[in-house]
Amino acid sequence: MIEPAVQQAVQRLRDDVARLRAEVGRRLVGQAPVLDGVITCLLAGGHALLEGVPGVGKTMLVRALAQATGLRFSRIQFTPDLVPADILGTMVLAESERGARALEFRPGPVFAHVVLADEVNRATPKTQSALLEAMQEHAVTIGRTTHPLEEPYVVLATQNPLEMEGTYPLPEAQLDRFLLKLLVPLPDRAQMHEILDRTTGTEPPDPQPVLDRARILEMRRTVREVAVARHVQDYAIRIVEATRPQAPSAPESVRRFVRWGASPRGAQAVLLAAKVRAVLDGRYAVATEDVRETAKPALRHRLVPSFEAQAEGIEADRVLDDVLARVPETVD
Amino acid sequence: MSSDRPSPPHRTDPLERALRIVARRLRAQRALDAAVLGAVAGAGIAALGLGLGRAHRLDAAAQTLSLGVAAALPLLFAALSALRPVSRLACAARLDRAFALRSRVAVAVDLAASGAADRSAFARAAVEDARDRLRAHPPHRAARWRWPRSAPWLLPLGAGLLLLAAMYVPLPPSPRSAAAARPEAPAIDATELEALEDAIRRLERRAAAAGMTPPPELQALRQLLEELRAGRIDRTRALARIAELLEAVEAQSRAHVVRATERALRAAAGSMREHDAMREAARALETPDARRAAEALRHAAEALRQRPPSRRELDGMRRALREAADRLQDAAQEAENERRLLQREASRAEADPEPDLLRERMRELERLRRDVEQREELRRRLERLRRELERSAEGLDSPDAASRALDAAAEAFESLHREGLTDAQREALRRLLEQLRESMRRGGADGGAEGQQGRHGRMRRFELRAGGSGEQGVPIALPGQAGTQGSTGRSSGQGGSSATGQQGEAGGGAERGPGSGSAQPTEEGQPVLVPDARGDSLLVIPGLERPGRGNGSEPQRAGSGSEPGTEHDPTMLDDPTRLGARHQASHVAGLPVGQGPTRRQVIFGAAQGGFATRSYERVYEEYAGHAEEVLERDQVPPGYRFYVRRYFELVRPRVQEAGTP
Repeated sequence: MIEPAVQQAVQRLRDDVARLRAEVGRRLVGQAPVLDGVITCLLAGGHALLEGVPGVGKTMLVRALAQATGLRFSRIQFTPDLVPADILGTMVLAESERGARALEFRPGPVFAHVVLADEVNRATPKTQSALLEAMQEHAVTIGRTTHPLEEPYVVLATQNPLEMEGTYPLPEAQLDRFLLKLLVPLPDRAQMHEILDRTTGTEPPDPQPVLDRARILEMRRTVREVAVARHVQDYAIRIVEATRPQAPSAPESVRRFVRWGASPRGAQAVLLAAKVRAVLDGRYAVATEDVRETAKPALRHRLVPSFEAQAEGIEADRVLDDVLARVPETVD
Repeated sequence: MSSDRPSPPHRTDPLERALRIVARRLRAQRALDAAVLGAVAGAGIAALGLGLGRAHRLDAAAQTLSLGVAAALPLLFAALSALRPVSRLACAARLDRAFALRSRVAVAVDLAASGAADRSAFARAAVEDARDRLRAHPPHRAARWRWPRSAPWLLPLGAGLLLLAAMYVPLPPSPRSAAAARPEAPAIDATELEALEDAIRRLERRAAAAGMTPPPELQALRQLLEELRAGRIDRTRALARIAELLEAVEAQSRAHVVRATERALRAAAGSMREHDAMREAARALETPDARRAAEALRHAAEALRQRPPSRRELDGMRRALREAADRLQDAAQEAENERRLLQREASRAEADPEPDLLRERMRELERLRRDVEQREELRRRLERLRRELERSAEGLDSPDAASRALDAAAEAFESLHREGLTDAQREALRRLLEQLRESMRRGGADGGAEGQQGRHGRMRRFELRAGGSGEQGVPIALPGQAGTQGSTGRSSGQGGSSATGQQGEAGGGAERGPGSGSAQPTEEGQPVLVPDARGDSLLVIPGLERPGRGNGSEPQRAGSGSEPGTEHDPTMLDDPTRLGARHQASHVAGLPVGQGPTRRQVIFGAAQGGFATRSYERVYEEYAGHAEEVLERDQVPPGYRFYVRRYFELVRPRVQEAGTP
């Protein structure tokens, strides 16, 4: 007999997420996998890198999610002349009512619950690295003072895969901070009709908050409690190991096309995302299927391609497909 | 009434139950797969074994072993697979896949095994969730029976195996093929058939003269003759059958001697039966059993020692023994009459001037002499027994001598029994001789084993030229032909010929002084090959024949002697007549031929490609080597060693010199 508390917690989480999806879906057409990925990051406490051509609804998705969750939202348009202070905040000289003057910290746009870092690869590495501490430590250090960011804190960065000129590719260290890298595809024809119907007619109403900050934190705790069997965890580890060209279990595609494989943070990302998937599926433990299905979004941005892969245009997903095909779910 | 004892987990826990059922199914399926795989492998091994056996690359034992392995492989494979444990995780994965449970069962099994279910509420929930789901699904559906993967191989391999096995089963020949397989008519000419018929006639004549009913073997021989004339039997088979039949006829002749002895003993028993002390012995003689009769007489003697007989009893016993002796004398006289009859026939055969049938006559003569000897032996045996009984009867003049007389009579019967044993040994030797002759026949025919009639004809012509006698082609194996070939029958002027086959080497004739042809009885049990007067090889079984009849010591007197020889060849180094050493009968196995005596091998070997062909060299090496082994092993007198080695020196194949055509 399943304990009622556990059963209720899972069921309530599933219901809340369903409501969230429905609310976001009032503005967003299609892109359900991307929305699931973003919700996964929200529930797992990670950040997401959304990659897609302009105009596919990335910004709208993030804005709608922020509105539906009732979280504070900020949007940063990354440009080459953006400086760290522009996103982190700065000290300004403020004068009190009695005329006393003192330096006062004015928080930047990173001080929000949901931060949209639009076209993050257009900022200089210095500015991009300014986002590093915020993403990893959930805190911002200005001068000698560290300002914690309020939970939940989610950075949803976007980048355009086409326009490479004038961009600064994200360094590996920063890429590793993203829980998932979500590929935002172009909508199909039916979705296009829906998009046109919604955006060229009467303005649809904004999403209403269906969750609050406390509930999201509670949902995060629920996710963390999802059980993981040893053989499932072993499966995740073996997948991550197989992405390393030095590993004995690495397939030939990894040896040829990968210069550097996934770090332990990659295994964490896989397992966390799998937990979210499991609980959203109504299960109390992670299955190997969850690991397999979350491996690609959790690992694709962590593989550093080799020169041969870049020369031949080999995508990380293709390598990961090979890895998933060759790593068995169980080992006797 | 409820029980406090908890039920086993697998009875109540659907998770355990499902795992157990699936594990059992998986093991059974695996065993089936392995059995089929083993059957495929076994079929392959069996097919290989049968195939190799069919190609004569594998002996019968190895074929049997391969079939055994083939039969055992499926069981072995199945047992090993069934004993191998099945992983619980694999069973759980089966259940997950079968019922689309998204690893719920596998995760539950893992969590339960690792103890996580005891620490985490979510882990407990996962296990319970799996149990709840399994309650709705029958576990056996997760492991359905399927055809073994190796099963498709069974059909072609099994068919191949059956085909190979069918090749081992002899099919009944069709009438057409049977007709095709029938041997062609033998190339036996009229002279051979005439010789055969002549031999049969002589056998029938001899049987009639001896008062015997012609044995059924003679009828069979006549039938064989008809088959040969009609061409329904080939040469080799005909010769083999001739040899068998003639051997049977000879055995019949030996049986005649035994029967005559038995008749005489029964007659003696009739007289002894009248007296109480010898009644038991009489019963034994009626059996007839000479050994038991001797024992009975000894018991009677012992009884007489305990209780001396009266004068009247002594007279009765004396009368009974004399009557028994008289019966034996009558039997001995009958044997003597037969011997004389046969002797006369032998003399007629010896005086036959027909040169073309010389060799045939010689064989017939040898056989007649053997019959004469058998009758003589019978007469001698019965006479000796009669003398002993007569002596015992004479000794019954006092009660003290009665027991001694019966002991002497017992000793006489015991001696007769021992002579019977000697007969058995001689019979064994004679069979050995027959086997050797048969082997040599086969060896001789191997040179012409191709069965080509033209070749046989050429060999026969060569044989006639080489022998110079124009003898009959089919070598009728008459009884005694090999053992007595030493007696040439030309006693006059030959300085005393040996009756045992030892050709007098220096005996130049009556005009040239003492002959050295010694009357040398060969050692019993040791067959040797010796040259005869015509240069042929003769096989002599020492001990089978009686000692030589002439010594040649008197130069001016021709004729054969009737007593054993007293002199020997001066070249001998030891006493050539010393016997009693241990010997062992031995022979050299030849090759299948089915015809001809020893010399036939020589002729066939020569006909193949000269007088020193490879075939003859091989034959010579076998015989010479075997003779050397026998000489080394047995205690053969040095004089005999000389002659044996001298013979092999003379017949040694000469090395063909360069330039010799």
